[in-house]
Amino acid sequence: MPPATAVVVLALLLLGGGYALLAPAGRAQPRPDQSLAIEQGRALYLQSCSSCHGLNAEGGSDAPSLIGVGAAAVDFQVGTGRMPLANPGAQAPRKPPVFTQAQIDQLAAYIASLGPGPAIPKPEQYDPSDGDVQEGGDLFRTNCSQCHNASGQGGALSRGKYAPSLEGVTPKHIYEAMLTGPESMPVFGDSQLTPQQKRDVIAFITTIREQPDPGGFGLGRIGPVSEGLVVFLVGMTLLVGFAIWIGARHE
Amino acid sequence: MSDRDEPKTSYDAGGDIRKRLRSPAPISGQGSPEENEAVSVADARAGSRGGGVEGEGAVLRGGQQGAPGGGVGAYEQRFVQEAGTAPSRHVGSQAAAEPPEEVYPAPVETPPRKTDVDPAAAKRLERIIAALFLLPVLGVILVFFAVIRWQPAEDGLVALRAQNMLIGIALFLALGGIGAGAVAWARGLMSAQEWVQKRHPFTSSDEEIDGTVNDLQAGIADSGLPRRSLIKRSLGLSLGILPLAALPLLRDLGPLPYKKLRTTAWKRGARLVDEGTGQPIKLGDLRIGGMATVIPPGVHSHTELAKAAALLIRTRPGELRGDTRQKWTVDGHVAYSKICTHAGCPISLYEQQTKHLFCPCHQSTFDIVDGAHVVFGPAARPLPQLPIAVDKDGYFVATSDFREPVGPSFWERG
Repeated sequence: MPPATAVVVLALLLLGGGYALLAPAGRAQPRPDQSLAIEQGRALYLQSCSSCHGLNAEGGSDAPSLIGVGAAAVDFQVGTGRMPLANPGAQAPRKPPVFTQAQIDQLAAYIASLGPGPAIPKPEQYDPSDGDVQEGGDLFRTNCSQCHNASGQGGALSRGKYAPSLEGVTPKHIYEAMLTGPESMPVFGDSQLTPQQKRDVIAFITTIREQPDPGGFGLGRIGPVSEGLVVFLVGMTLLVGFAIWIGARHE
Repeated sequence: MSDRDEPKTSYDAGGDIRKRLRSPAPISGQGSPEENEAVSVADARAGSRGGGVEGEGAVLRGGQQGAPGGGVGAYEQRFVQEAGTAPSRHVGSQAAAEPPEEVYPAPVETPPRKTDVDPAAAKRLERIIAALFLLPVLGVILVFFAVIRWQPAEDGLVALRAQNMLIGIALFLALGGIGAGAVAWARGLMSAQEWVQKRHPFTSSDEEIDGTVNDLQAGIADSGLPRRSLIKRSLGLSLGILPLAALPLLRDLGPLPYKKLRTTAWKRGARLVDEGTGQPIKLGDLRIGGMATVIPPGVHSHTELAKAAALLIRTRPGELRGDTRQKWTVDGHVAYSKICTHAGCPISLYEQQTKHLFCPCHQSTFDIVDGAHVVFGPAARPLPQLPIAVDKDGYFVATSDFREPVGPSFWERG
């Protein structure tokens, strides 16, 4: 390795290591007071969000204004990894979050300071053990199942958009999604679905997620459609192969 | 029946009869010598063309032990010998001469299997087959065990699942044992050699074909149909007009929809009730970007609900434009029928960013802020808009029924 290259590599390593040490990611400290959180959130915002959403969160040609979306929207979008957007497309996919929860809270505090909006729900608001599964099922079938499928497996919308699967979504993020209506999803405010009814829906979702698949494979859990397809393709192929083997000549 | 004496060859059954009907052969006592001549030429041509069809035997391949039991194989062998000693069973046909043997591929010789040469191996396989055939006994015992062991009515879903699983496994053992035994029997013990089964030709004899053709021609000549055009045309007319009698009968197959498809349960003053919560919706309950499925209060008939289901959607103030009837909206709230105008599927895949309503059945897409007109897909009409207002208590109410029929097109819709 030529000396110049070695120097560059060393410098990069030092820089990277130094950033890792100094970056706020490593600091899991008690929640600072509100104005400090807003200040830090603004710094994070300017660094990671402002290129699309504008320096004052006023929105841009491809990004909505964030004034008044509330802390819950930030917690959902950043907490599920949808934001920051990796690349523009029909819809932001769920991916591992880029920021720590502490950073997300700071971002949320900054956005919440710009205008009134729904706050991040408290744990007791989305605790599924307090929900009525049966009531939640009724509400889910009326309001959610048309897009997210009767068992929360998700489904297609128009022009490449889709309703995502609800597998592995935390109760807090489900609550925030109902409250804020991310992307294509309609908003279900507290006067339409009360906090108790939101808890019921969350209880229903977590309950059906935990139900086992007796056959071993869920097959998308969409019932006889996928099951019939598998039986038809795999079963028929096996039967045809078996019939050929039975009729084959001894060699 | 035929009085002709020229030699006949075999027939290509259907095509030949049609040809002979077009250029009729002489019936006994009728016809001129020229016609006779023409027919014989046609016959000769047909005979030379159909050369590949006649023949006494066809080789059946591949069925070395397809049928259970050894009886069929033995029968085929006897049949081959019989056919060999008396080659022409088809007495009437002069084309019955044995075709050249090399036309048919010889049966493939199959090398002997282990069970063919080693009686001990055959005996072992026999025991295995017997064991497979006894599996159903075990299966039936397991079925009885499963039914007695678990009482799903008392023990719940887990017991039901276990019982189903065990019954399935037991029946698989039972049916699979019989099947596997039969397959092992056929592949291992029954003869693996190919057999030749000879068959007689499929065509009728010359006498039968001639007789049929002559009978038909005699019948046509006797009816005088070609001459009596009045009878022919009047018969054609009556046959053509007869199906019209079925039309009034078809019309009576079901009641006409009359007003049923034109009206729904919405009426002036009916509150918009959230289908999920059962609560009437107040102005302000929905947030901007919100959506609710609404039904009229006090309606329980599924037929009525299927027609009346509507969507109440809240948009930003001033966002509703175009063909939206503004007088039927309240402060950015607009209500549309939930029933797709294409095939009647319920639509509520509302994409609140694009303000599009998307039908999952055939991808019809409606623009909510512009009179719900169709922006994509097979639907032919916008969704009917429900006129809404707010009553003195702040609840949303309909000011009338839908002003046009909801749902897909129907014949009398107009």
